[in-house]
Amino acid sequence: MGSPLKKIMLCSSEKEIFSVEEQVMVQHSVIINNMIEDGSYNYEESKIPLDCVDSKTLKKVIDYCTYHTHHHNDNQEDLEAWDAQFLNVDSNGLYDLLMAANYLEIRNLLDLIYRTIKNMIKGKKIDEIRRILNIKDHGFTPEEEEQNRKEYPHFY
Amino acid sequence: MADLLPPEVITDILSRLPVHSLIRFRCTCKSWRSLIDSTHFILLHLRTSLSSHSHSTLVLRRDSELYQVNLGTLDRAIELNHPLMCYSNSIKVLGSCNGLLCLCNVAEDIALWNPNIRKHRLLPYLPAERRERDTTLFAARVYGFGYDSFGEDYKLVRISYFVDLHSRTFYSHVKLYSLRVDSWKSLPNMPYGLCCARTMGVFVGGALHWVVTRKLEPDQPDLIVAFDLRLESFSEVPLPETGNVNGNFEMDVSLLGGCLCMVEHRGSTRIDVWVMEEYGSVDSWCKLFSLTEHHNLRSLKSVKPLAYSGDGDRVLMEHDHKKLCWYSLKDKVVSEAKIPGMPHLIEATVYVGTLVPPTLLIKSDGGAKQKHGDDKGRRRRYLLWQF
Repeated sequence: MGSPLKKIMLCSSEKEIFSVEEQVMVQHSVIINNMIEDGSYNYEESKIPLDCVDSKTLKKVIDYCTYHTHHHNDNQEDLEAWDAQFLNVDSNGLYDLLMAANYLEIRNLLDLIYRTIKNMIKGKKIDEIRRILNIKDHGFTPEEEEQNRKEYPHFY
Repeated sequence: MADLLPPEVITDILSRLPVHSLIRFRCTCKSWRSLIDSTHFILLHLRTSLSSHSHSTLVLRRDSELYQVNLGTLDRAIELNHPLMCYSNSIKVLGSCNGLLCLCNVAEDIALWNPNIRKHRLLPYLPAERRERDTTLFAARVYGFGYDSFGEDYKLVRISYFVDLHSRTFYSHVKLYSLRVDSWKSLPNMPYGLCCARTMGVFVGGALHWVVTRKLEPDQPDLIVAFDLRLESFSEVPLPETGNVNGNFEMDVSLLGGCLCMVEHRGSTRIDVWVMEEYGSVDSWCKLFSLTEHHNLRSLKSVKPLAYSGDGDRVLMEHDHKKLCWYSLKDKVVSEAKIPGMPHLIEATVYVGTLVPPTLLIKSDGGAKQKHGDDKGRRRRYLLWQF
């Protein structure tokens, strides 16, 4: 585990530098924890380059990790309310967060996003899911698609 | 967005959904269809459902009819079209495992059936055993259905119990069906007699469990016997010290929250419900609750614990094969669980909604490992998932 006073530097795709408490990222991100543990991070010089995470998304990810580090003793309801507010973003924002959480291996944030997407599509009809997830090419031939619609009209 | 989502992400999200959603989502796009149909996904979804205790469904039987109720909501009973319709004759649910129900009708037809995907398979016919002597009486027949994870095989056990009144002896024939070889075989007789409770085998810890007795004499203590599906042999389950050694009580077994559960009838005044929290460990038996005359149940004849409520504070039970009740572990009171459309005379079974077909799954079907096609990230190794 990292020392609570140490800071590490994260660098977004726009080359903006974010200074974060080491403990906050080590607790949440598997890859940052690995880098600190195996000594590949140099406190004097290193910046962790996150080329596929933009500044806006990185700031949100850091907000998430910081809040969950300092509020992990809060009651479950309060945390869930905070999470719901945190993920009140459009689908592009959600996608960016998902990719960042995936890249940094932040398991609890990934789990939260997965549950959110699950709830977005659960109980929805096919046409709605295609719209929500922006599936333009469903891959069925026109004949297959027609057959599906004929066989399961209540799915659409 | 879905076009851009890595397949691992789609797999993870879909594996959390109930079967009825997945059956609909097969029509979303072709890649989802091949994912949902793959053996890898069927097994992932099964593991996710079993470990999260989600998608549990209650099956209620009245005569030849079966009804399905969502265990989380208990909102309404929906009639199921099962594959062994036999006019007005009754059918039996012999067991359930991994989303497969094992059914039997009066003609002794037996089917493995997944109601969610509406697929079934009829088992080879097994004639009833003949009694050996004129003085022998056919006393009872029980079944048990479970999964042998070592041999990756579904197995059904039939025990036929005969009593010879003249010599005051008994014998219990054992037959075993394996899905892998799709046939029945005979096993050595079980050295126990079946007790009054005709409960079908309870599958937990890789073994089936029944309540049996060693001797035909009255006041013999009941015991629980386990049939290991991998070793195909019987052994006795260590029981808790219940303070009752003279055996003048009846015992029954069931499955509760993934644990072996023992129901101990102490005369007509009290029922104790025990669970073995850690399978195989005698020290892990713990008395969950007792039912007495103060609980205003009309009788204390038959109680079968079925499942915990979502918050774990209550236990759903079948009472006297007539109705469903909740027992509140906090307040220690019993209340009736009313479900719209539910039949009155009932027998309840819990099963988990899965995509598992009543056939053997072939594992290397190409859907096992989907790679992130357009992943050219420099830190690709960090993107590898645990699947």
